[in-house]
Amino acid sequence: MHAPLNHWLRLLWGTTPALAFDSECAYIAGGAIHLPSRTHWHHHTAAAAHAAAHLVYSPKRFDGTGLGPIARVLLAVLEDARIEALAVRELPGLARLWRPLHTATPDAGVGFEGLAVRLARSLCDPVYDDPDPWVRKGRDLCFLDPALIIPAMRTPAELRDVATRLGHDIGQMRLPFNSKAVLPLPAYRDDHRWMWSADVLARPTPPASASTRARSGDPPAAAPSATLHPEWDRLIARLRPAWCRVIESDVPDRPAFAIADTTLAAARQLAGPVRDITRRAARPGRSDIGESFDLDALVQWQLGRRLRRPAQVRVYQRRRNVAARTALWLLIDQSASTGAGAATGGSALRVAAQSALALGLALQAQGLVFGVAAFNSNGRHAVHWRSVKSFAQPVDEAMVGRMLALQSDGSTRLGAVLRHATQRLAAQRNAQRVVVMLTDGSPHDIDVHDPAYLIDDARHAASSAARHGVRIACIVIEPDDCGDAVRIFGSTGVSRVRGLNDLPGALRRLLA
Amino acid sequence: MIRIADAGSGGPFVASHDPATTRRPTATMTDHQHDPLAAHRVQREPYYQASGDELMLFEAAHARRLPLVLKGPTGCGKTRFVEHMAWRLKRPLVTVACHEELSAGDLVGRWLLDSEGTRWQDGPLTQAVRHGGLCYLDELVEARADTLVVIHPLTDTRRQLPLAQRNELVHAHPDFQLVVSYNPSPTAREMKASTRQRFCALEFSYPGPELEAGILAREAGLDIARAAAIVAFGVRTRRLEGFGLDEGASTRMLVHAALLVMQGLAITKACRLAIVDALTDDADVHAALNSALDAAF
Repeated sequence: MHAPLNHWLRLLWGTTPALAFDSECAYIAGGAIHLPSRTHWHHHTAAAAHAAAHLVYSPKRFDGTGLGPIARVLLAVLEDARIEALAVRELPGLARLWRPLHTATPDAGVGFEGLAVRLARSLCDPVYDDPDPWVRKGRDLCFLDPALIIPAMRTPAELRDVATRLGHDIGQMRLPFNSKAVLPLPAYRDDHRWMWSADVLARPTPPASASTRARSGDPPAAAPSATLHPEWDRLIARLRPAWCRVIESDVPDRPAFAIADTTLAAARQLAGPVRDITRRAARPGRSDIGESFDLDALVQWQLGRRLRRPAQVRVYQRRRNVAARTALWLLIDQSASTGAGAATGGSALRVAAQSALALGLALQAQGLVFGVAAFNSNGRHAVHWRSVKSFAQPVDEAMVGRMLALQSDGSTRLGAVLRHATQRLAAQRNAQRVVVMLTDGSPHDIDVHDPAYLIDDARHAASSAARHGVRIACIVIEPDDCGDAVRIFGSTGVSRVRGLNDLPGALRRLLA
Repeated sequence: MIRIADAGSGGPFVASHDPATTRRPTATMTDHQHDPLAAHRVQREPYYQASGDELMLFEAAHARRLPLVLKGPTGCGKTRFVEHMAWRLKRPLVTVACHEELSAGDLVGRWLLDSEGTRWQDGPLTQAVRHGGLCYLDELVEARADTLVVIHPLTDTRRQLPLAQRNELVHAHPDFQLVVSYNPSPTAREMKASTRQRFCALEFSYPGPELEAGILAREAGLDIARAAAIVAFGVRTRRLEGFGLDEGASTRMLVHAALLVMQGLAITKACRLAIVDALTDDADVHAALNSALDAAF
């Protein structure tokens, strides 16, 4: 409900107040709109639009000094009518949303509450004709036209004047007023607590949450190579702009190491699955249009022509430059948890590094453009992206040295890393863009205590990547439970491996 | 423009933009023999509502035959502007929509087979270079890398197009000008500096609401009040750019909605058909757009 309602309010007025579904009745506090948690879309939109209209058209506060309780209630009713009229003038369809929710009739009685709700309906619905002279007087004082389009009150002072006059009439009628009773106005209207309290209708500030409280604090100074990425906050259901700082660096060169035989053997096994990756971008065979002739097809065509038989005219080679059509990032999780041992010996980070090496060799053999980077994080201001191999560097013994230098440390902030990889791939000129992630399981970070927060953020980043044509394959190394990865990437986007031997099958499942 | 040649012949480039070195197809129309780009001439004035001094700027760049890149969001009028300028300058306009599969051969030409053997077929770029005209490469950065390289010698003082497959070097006709379009966005491919710096650039954006309503009224024949209402909704959709939509409704989409209204559809139905359902597949964004449409009319 969060996301569509947020989008909707942005569409209506370009405003993005924080929304919270935590109240029995609608109210505005601190610029945030609080709505009932359980109701249906129609009531949510009616309540949210009314509250947002206050944020757009109402003054930040009203001066209540000198106003009696009756006049305050009436001023709130008049202000509701005024802002709804302004909203309807801009967005006529909102009238269809609000008017049916007003059901007061003369049967509501002639007590103060009854007259007030009749006045509220009379100020909202031009078709409703109330016989009561006080209600009619209220309508005449508030609007200049019977269609209720032009409000007569333009300033808080004029509003206050009308409310005082109508309140005076109520006093003359000697109608009892219970200031503790709740006026039976339609449920979509807020309780007006913002009008009189110390609350100031400032620009919306997001509601405090466990995750945001933890993340408060001044950001450290920006690193020169840092890139800022948004992050999805599930509690307010929107992207926090420029929230995570991804810092790029290169893994320093270390003494070179020979590539192990087991890695070379694994690379040979990976040749098939890697060809499958390129096959998706390839269109092997012949074509009736192209740049180079397929000699066999050309001979067949000439033979057919001379024999006066129908001949195949697809005499050109299809473009075969398929390797250059794919760009790929191989991302290695080097968070502290990857230091734990895997079943086949060595830590999960070592298995990931061996897998990346083997996969790198296979990708290089196919001529694919790819890079290798390791990542970890230490809070949202320090998401590290350490480049082990750039697109231009080869897979060689120097790369093995850099790979061995990786140490398990820090946390896992997957969403920021995925957005960074997507951005890097978007700049590439390749038809097929792939991210292969080698991780040990679930995202976590020191400044986030809500376990679902980073999972939802990573899922948002993954779906955003998919929208931009980036395929993501997540290889989970020796987890106890890869449920979090499945929640992020979907069951078809995750494959679990225990060692190098499982890698070809996993890749084939994920990328074929 | 066809030249019978041996596909395997080597030798130096034949410097040529002289039609005498080629043989015209005998079956073509007489008009085409005099004006090979006759089909590319813009006969009637395409409607274009200027929102600044872009007409004057284009004419200045054209006077010096400087290559030009038109930058701006989808459907804001770049292509229409080029058509209008081709008409205004009385130049033929050869348009190519670039895509990921577009190769250099698709632009410059290729050898084809027919019953007599092989024959060379000029591509659209070569046609414009030989015979003089505006060549408009729409969304250039979407094309393959080899395509971008082809235009480099055309966009500096050389103004040449090498046809390597044919061993020919075509010097650009004095009337030739290259215009490309580019839609920069965070997720779009970037134009390389080596390509970018060859062009002058004209920045486009959506026209202001009043101008845009005027465009709708003119294009669809719709009354200005309803055109303004459609534009107001279109402007709202642009608020979701970066928040669920990569781009909001383009002027083109709004014109489609206006045309549907003229076809007899109710304005909400027309906007749903032309804008809301076309803009997104995301369920949340779609629900929000639908509700905003209900609120707007």
